[in-house]
Amino acid sequence: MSSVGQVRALVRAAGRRSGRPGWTDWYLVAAAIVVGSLLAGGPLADVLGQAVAPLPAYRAAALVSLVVAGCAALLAVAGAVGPVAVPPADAYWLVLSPLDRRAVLARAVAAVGVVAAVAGVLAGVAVRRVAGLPAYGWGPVGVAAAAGAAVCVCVAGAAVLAQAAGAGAVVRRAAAGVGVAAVACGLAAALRPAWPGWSPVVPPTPVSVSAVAAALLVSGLVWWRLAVFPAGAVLSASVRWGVVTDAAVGLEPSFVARIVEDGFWRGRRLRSRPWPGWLPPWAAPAWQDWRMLGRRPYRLVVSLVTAALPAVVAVAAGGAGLLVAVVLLAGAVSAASAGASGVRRDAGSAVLGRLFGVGGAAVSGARLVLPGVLAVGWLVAASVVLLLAGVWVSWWWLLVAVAAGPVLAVGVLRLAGRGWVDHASVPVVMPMSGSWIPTGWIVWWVTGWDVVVAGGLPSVWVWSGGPGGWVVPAAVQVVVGGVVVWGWLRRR
Amino acid sequence: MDRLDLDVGDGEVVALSGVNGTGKSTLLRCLSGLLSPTAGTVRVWGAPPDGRPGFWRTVGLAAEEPAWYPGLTAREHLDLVRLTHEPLPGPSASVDELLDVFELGGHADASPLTLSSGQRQRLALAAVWARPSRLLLLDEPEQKLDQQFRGVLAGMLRQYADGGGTVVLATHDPVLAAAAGARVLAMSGGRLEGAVASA
Repeated sequence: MSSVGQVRALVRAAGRRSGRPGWTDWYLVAAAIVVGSLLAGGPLADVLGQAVAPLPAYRAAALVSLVVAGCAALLAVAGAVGPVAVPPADAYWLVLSPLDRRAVLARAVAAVGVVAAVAGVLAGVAVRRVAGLPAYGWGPVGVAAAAGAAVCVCVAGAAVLAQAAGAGAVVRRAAAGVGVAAVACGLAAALRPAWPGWSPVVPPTPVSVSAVAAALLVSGLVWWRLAVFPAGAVLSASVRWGVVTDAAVGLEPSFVARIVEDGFWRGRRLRSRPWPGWLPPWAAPAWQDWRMLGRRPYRLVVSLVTAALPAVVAVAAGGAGLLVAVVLLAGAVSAASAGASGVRRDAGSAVLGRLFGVGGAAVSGARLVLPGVLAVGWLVAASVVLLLAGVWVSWWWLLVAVAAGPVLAVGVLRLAGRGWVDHASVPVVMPMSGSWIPTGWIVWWVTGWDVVVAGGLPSVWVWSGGPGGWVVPAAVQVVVGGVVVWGWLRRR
Repeated sequence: MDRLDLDVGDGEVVALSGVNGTGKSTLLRCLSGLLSPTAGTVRVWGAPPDGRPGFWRTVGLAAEEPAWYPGLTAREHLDLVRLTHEPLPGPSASVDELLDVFELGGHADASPLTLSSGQRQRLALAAVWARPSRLLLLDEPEQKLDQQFRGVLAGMLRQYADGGGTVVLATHDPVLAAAAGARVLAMSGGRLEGAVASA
């Protein structure tokens, strides 16, 4: 029996028959490194060259809670996609074989570790910068970077160990719980800024040393576990990664949303219930959105908890501004998307309409209701928390949240209904170079967000503290909402 | 699956039959260690199938179509199997012989991606036969095969069992099962209903 190295060499040698990397490939790699360095250089010089006063305790606490919530989200995402996965061919020919499992999977695990470490370095430096950097130079930044990398490696390692133990679902639930608790703590810090004698800011060097020691321990455990890593866990993760890769290569992000939803529903036992007798035919397609949301109640709970995020972000960032307005807009879209599952599923398909024997504005209008209710509900909840935290002062701003609902509902339905990327769209040809830019994926990315951003500008103006009060923007928002909904229904 | 009790001896061919969704593939996944039962025990040669490298020294699995290396030919895929497995004591067919038996001699230097679906299925089965195994787990191996090659496959299954190997297959083809001399067990609703035919 050959070693993994010899087997991979055979595969590589055969693969080279289809063409060695040319100078353009190396040029692209080199250019990516140079451009990446140039992009990172500016912020890094900024971090190293400017002293920043440390945050007050309550703002630091909010920041720490955001970091913990981010780690929990990272753990949940890592657990959802694998994280240990190999190319589909390797999964079949190398994993289901007597080859040393550790050698087969080492490269995949190393990739997970490198990605986690790089993300951790960036996060560590960013957090250090926001939290305060009273001293110049590489020392404090290096300590923060090491701590960030170590924490993220620990999180990724925990996801790998959970995958090996077949406890991915348990860990994802635990991560959701930790994330919710972190947001709640951040909210508590935002609501109670004056906590005498308490400071969440711990000395960074001991924290970094502890984090690095923990990362080494977790890495050792992962290395030990790799030798007996279960094949089934790698195979299913590889299938998921295959879909994600196909989506990336084929520029079809809808694949990812589809497989996430499919994975959720596949793991559940559903009970058939009759459709309400009072339901008019034109409301039937909308009813499936309500029913599907009713079968995912935890998603509403998570949405409700995330309504505290804008306040925590505002406190950590030192006040309301464009950042908080963007978080509000994105959060409302995310919450409203929970009510557009059916639209996402039957996007571009006339089958459902034919099945129910309905179509037109009535059906579309009915389907606007749930996303609108969710968007308004989330925005009102987030606004209340912002008001309680003292970030906002005028309770009248709740009306702005209500006024933004219709625009967001239309935007979310456009997002849900955009379907596949149109790769057959006419490209833009550059007159000087003759090169061309495909437009299908650009249109795909813009669809939906165009209505959300352009239509939501009056609300963003108020939320970001633009001058001129709230009355006029709110009135404009109402008019824009009416026009957008009218235009949306007219096209149905 | 529920209240499932099954013993399979050496040199036996067991065919699981039943309509779609009765648990045939799930049972095969449990036997291969890719899925752990929530209750009860599964033992292969006295030990739970753990799917670890040692397990695959003597077990061949053909479930869904494998992912192919686009740069490797049909012959190189079989060579790869030979590279990754230690040979068991006793005679074994060479790669050329396997290509001939599976009627792929004329396509040895073709990429699997250029083969028809039936030819790819034969190559997938050839890869299972290239493994030096004592147990074969096959999930609907007759898929995409023409009637003539199903007969060949039945003969190969019988020959494998006569050589001391054990086969557990899920199939919708009673003719294949009978020709292979299989003990046919009907599954229904995740339960084993019992033997329905013996050859």
